[in-house]
Amino acid sequence: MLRIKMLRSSLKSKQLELLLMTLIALCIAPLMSKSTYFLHVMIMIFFFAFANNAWNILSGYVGLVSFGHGAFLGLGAYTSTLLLLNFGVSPWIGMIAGVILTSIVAAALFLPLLKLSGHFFALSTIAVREIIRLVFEYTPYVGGAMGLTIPIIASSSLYYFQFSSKIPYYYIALTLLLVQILILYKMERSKVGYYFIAIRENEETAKALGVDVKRYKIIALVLSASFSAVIGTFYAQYFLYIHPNSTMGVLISVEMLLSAVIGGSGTLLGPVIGAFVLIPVETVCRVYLGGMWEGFHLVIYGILLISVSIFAPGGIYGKASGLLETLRSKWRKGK
Amino acid sequence: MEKLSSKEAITKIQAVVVSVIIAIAVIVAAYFAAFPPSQKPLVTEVKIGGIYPLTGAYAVLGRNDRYAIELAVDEINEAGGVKSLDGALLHIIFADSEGDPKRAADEAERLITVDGVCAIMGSILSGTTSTSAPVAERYKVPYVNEGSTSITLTEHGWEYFFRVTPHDGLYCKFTFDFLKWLAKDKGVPVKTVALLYENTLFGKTAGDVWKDLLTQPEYSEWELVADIPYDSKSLQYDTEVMELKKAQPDVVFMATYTEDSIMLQKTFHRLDFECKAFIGIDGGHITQYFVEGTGKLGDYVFAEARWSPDLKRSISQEANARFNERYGFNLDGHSARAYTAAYVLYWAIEKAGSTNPEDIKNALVNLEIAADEIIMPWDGVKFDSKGQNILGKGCIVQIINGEFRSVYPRETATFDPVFPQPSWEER
Amino acid sequence: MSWGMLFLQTITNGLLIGAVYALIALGLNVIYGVMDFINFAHGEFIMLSMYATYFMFVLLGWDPLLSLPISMLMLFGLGAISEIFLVKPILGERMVIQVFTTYGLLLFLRNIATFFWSSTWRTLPTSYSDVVLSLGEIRISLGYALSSLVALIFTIGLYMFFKKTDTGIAIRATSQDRETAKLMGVDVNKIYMLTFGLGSACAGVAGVLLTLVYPIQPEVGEIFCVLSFVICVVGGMGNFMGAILGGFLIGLTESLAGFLVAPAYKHIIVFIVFIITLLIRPKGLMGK
Repeated sequence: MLRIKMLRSSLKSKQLELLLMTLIALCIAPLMSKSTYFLHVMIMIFFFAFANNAWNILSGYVGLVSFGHGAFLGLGAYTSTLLLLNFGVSPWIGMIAGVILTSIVAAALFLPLLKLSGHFFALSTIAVREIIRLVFEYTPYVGGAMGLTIPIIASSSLYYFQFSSKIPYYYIALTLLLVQILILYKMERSKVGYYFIAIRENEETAKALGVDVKRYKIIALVLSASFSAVIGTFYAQYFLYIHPNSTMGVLISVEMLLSAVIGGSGTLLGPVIGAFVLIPVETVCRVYLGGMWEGFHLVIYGILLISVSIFAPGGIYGKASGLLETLRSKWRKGK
Repeated sequence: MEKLSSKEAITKIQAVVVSVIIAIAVIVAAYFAAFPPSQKPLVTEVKIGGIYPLTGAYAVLGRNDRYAIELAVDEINEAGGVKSLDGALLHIIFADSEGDPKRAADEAERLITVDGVCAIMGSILSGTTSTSAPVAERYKVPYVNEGSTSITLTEHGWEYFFRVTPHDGLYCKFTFDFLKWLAKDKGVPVKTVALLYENTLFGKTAGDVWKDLLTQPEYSEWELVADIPYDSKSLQYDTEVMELKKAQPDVVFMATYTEDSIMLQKTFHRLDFECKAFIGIDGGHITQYFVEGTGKLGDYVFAEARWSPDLKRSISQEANARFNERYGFNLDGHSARAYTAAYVLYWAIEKAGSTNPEDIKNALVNLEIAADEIIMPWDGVKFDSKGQNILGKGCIVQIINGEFRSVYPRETATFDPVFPQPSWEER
Repeated sequence: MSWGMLFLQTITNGLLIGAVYALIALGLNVIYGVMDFINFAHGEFIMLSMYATYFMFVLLGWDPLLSLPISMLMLFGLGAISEIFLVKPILGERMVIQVFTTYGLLLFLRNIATFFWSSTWRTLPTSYSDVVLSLGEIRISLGYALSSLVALIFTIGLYMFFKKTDTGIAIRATSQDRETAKLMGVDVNKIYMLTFGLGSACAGVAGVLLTLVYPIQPEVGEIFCVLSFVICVVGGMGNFMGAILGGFLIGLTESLAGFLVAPAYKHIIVFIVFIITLLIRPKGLMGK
């Protein structure tokens, strides 16, 4: 009956107020700040929050850790860019096409892997991603190793998803992220969400309870890949250049999980909080220390990553709220 | 404490945590957006951004370029800075692209909007230039590129992009012209050629240009017997060399990175692959590490090096001597071009007499530098409407006893090339 | 050279490189088998060992094969220390945490190497590594031959250690059943430290041997990163013989694919072989 109770529980007005205030702050931030670099950092935060949320569906909720999400992001980016360059199709339509294509590829290539367990699945995703990357690298039609450059279309245009100012990108990224969080919120509270977690906690038990494990794994995979493809289109339109090594490589795949893990994987807001912490930290390290000594800023960044994982292995989200909880109970006792 | 489960609804406490963390992050970001990294502002200075891969797999290229630019800037500042700006000093702010296109765009954004640079130099790798140059284009800040040779970079219609170096199209053709001259000069016929290149942006471009050139009547006398792209992240290159052994070409053209160039040369020797000449373009073959790594085995390799320390030009020799004195090794094809690019930008600023990016851009458009003012063996510097320097030329060297000797073009060369190379046993 | 001889040469190359692959994967597998832990910074351990060997050669004039025990001990120490400070606190955690921590370690080690020793390439100029041995028409460099030989000797030594010594048996017992081993009086914490040290020592030996054939650079670990996982998984995670089998299988696949298809596709084929193996045997070739 616990479940029903949880289902019924919803946001109380005060919490809603707090979240709304944060939201309003984020909405008016571009109007308050004159710095476009600040906007750029915020866009990167939204970008990584979205990408990590996508990863989180398959790897956080269902527990199938993937190191291959760069492939999905890259497929999305390539689909919309190829459509734009060859047929002048709007990237927004390209985004939808990317979602469809990526879902199909994900289902076709990753489906056989779903029967693998734990570490085997995780490490085999590296191989699948690498195969996709190599195929793109050796196919001249998709730009090969040279990659694809999207030309700058002079004026800002919503149709071509190109703007000379940062502000439209900011709001697009923010909207995408909010819509995604809303979908994930609904998902988490639906039976799909419960089944996902049931599969993560114990696959055998879930099966015994009548959960169609395979089906829900596929749903998670397709959902996860689709979101990755969406943000892939955003990546292409924001940076205007994609190539297999950077858009489908190891680095982007790792970056798609770092924020989620640091924030708390398998939670709704973990990846978002992770991105809000990780991206500024990474940027500050690089900006302040990057030009100084060879490699120094990454030494510091590495130490920070290690410290976080040792002191807050469950993610910052869990750690911080745990800390506040104890503080509050102490305060109450003292009172 | 029970682990926070996603099954729970968001509690008040969690909402507070979320908001607080977001607020802190925003403040941190805003803080450093408002107060950029404090580079002690000089009285009058011209701020220039430099985006280079200072960490990651290409860090060594970034480091050497940075050294060369620092040398050039110090020389300029010691000579009285920018005279048309009352002796304002040049100040280069270096940023680390980590060799990642995302980061490069990020850093361009930061240098322009936070540090307020009036021009950007960068970024060696064509991949990082592809994302950072559009950023400069959007903010209308001139971007002086020293060494990204991918042909397409000047084909995008970027108005603020200026490439000082010739591109791969010219360099590749230059190696072919060299071989033609060589075969004729030495009276040794060349009938078959093979291409061996690493399959990412750099090597693939060279490979494609070479293949395209081979279809033209000018070079139809040569038959392409092997076309071998390879992955430069390998522990062994035996299969690539076996492929060459099967094809038996007279000459092998190569585009490599450093570690693979060393491994390939050793494998040529081990598997006893003989041919008349190895001709490398840029990449591994023009670095000191290739010479150190292969020792005697690296001798007689030709390389399109862009530059050579022994050029018959006093200005080049002097610049190299200053560089060597300061850092303990010679300028190479990359760093020499970075040094030149720094000067090109300086001359443009001098001519513009302004730190306004638009003025500097206009100065760059109309810039004309004579051949004897630059250390590169070029005919000078003059940009066409696409921003490409049209007076650039190549420079072929041969490795003899572990030293780079310039062999072509003959006007600046100091050494008569050895062709065909001796077999492994004769060495 | 006839096609047949080229083919034989290819097989030889595959076997030689396979021995080194096996050693690299062995370190990972020993750790995984006992501790259920994946070290993403394994390649960086190899890199550190390469630098140690290089500096002992350049500064002290010690030949790599002579300084091998020292590099091995250094890496054993490094592994043991990492186990105490990094691995122990997160041992029971989910896999993503392991990834996260060791990715941090990877960044740290790579860049500390860049920081201290700069990003230049270094090559260890031994007098013998480029000497070529001819067996009929088949040609092998002494560097490769020696590294494969030492890799094999070390592997056999390690195997004997696990089979014959008390500590080795304790480690195996722990890997099979942690709780029972504990009841039998095995100090599991000590075993973990030892195991991680041993796994790192494997990386140490691999590093020393690689200096004979490969240039040294802070980013060199990247080459081993993906490949060593592929080998581990193909052979069977945590299985001693699996790593060796996987090493030779991948070494041979790479060489044969390059020879029979095209060098450009050798890595694609390696990955396809990897996936097919997994689909047929989801726990790897030797997995149970």
